[in-house]
Amino acid sequence: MFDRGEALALLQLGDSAFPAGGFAFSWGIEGLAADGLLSDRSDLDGVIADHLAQRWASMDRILLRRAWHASDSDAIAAVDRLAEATTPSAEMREGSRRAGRALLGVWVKLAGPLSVSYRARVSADARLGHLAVVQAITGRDAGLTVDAAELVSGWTLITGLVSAAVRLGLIGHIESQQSLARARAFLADLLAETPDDDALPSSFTPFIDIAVSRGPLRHVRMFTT
Amino acid sequence: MSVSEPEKPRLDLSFVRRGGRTVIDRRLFAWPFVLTRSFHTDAARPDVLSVILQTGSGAVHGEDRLTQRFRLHAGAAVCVTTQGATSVHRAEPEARAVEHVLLRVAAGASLDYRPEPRILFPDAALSQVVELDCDPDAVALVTDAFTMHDPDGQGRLFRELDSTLMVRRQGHEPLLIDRMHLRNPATALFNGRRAFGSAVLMLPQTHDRAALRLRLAEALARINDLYAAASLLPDGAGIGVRLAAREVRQLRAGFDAIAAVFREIDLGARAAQAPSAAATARPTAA
Repeated sequence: MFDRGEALALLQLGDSAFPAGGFAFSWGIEGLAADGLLSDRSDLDGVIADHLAQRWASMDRILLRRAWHASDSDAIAAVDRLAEATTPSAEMREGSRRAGRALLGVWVKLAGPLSVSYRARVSADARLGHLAVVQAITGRDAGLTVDAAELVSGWTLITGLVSAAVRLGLIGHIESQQSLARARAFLADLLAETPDDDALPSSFTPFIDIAVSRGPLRHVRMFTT
Repeated sequence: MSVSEPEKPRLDLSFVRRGGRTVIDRRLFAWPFVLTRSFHTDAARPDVLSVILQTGSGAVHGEDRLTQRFRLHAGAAVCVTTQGATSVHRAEPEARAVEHVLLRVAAGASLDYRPEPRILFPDAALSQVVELDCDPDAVALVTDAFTMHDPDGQGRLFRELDSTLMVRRQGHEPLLIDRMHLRNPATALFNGRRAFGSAVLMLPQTHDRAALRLRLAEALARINDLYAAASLLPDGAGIGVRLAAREVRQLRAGFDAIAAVFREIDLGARAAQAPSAAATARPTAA
């Protein structure tokens, strides 16, 4: 059944205008383009598919679900430390924490009770605040279901990647809509299958990992990741 | 996070430092592992014991359950390699080979663990876990890599690869869990590359990681057809390197470049401990 209230909430929380600083992250798009591995819409669609299937679905989504079902703040922090440990690249970890902390900051200002409570832990431990974990916390504060929180998580990743490609001049606005539509269908396929509760996080995005990790060595860059 | 418990080791080696050299003080192995003589061949590092691990079968098969354990006691210095790349053959639909490698490195010890890449044949299925427990005052280089090969030249790929590299300090909560799990991968995922690898370089806190990372980046950038990057591991424990190469030879060149940096670090540390050791070096077998 179509739930208008939840649909409107998704439009608000999944909007690129939501003030969580998502525009600062390209998650490898900039680096791959700089290294000659991404130059057009076809390449972009491939990178989005890799991000979604080989990282988001197998890692971020697993962490989000674990944090969602965590019984208390200690258990959430344990998932957050797992996010830290399962991300070998310092630049990916830093990006994930920066994005997560920015999102958490917005929800603290919106007086989300779980967000306010968890913010104290994040302030005391530099390893905490990863995006997938914070998406679970803020999703609960927003009154979403876990299914809806996952959807926002996957969709904001897609819009971030496509937006970065447009701003880098790799694709135009019409092509961006074509990429969004394709990625949207792929995300729906991934969401149709529910991972096991005891699934272990994993990823295989070597080109994205390398492109992001090479970031600090580049002379000029627009994005944090 | 937990992974499956390892079975009883079929290769169990323990190393100690005696009289300025590293020797084996426990040496147990069973089929398919074979261990012949080990050597002290490095004039600049006379304490280092080189071990070339062999397997009688020369391959990993679908039903294999293989556990290896290497324990380096305080001050031991060991370089472990394998006889060559290990083929992982097809597994029956419900089967997959399972391998565990347990590495324990005590204070002041040095481990250079560089097995040759796995060659994943069509329909191969492998689960492997490498667990490194490294003391904060030890150094370790651990590499892991795979490539793909279809003897019929049809581009068929492996069925499953579940690979975990886990790093701990003194039995504490893992500070790194680098896990990939691929099932029936599509060719496009590999973007025209056939060899993929990772390396972790564990170092005491006294080393300048940022400078080391730059040196690694420069060394890796000189290798054609290798896409690679070095990055700091969680908790500042060391440096991780991710590599993607057209072929295994470029991947090997990348590992060699990393090992050369590791060797410099190790030489520097040991020179500081025993400046006269190199002058008395004589190659020997152990």
